[in-house]
Amino acid sequence: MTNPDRFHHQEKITLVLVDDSQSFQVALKRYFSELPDISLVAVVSSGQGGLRLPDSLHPDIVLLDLHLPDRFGLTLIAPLRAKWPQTQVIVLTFADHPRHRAAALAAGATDFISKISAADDLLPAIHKAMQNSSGTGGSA
Amino acid sequence: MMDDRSPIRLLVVNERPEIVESITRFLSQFQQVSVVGTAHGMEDSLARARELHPLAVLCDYSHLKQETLERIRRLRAELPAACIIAMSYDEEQTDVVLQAGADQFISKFELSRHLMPALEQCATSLR
Repeated sequence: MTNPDRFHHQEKITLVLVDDSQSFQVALKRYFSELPDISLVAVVSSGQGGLRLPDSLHPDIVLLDLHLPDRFGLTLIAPLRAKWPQTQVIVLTFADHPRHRAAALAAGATDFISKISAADDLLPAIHKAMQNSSGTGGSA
Repeated sequence: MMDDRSPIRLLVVNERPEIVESITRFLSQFQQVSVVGTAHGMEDSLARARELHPLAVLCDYSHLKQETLERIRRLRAELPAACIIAMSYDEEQTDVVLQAGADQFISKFELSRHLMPALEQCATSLR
């Protein structure tokens, strides 16, 4: 369950990363390890890996790449949102063609970020997603 | 050498087509650079380097893929005067990459911040 007052209670924002790039996984772990209000609770390298994570994990946010070894990430957005209805999905990818952006948002992604601008855009997107979660009554 | 006003001619090298496309799309907004070619594998990269004679090459590096370091060495041998920029998430590997022949190392996590400055530095050094 997502807590709309998370920032006030200083709970950590929990993230799951679905991305098959080992180098990116390491880089993101290092990046988030320096941010005290964010916890990367699971990292998986495939779509099936993401769908097999326990329902009880209910992360606040899933960071989802599109080019995965077993399926195209766009097809995961709806199943992930069905699995964790309160979870926000942020697409984070080099497959940043405008048609993918439009399709991702139409499928239910909260945001769509190019990995080219990850350093600039990722953290604001996470905080925006948390605000979105609060604003939509995420603790239902 | 290059003219002060001519865009820097860049070859973009990466195994993953979506990364090449993304970088090419990103750079299309800057008049100072012209992506003259793209390549994916080792031999493809060397062939494109011979064919196009780019003034700069942007190539990926990962310590998990040793061929990416060998590719930098071979591109340096093929293009001794070109500016080679290596991009990587392995920021602790900067020295290794520079010793292999890259002129610059930029964080792949911060491409939007560092790619154009790196290319402008290349252009300055080539003039």
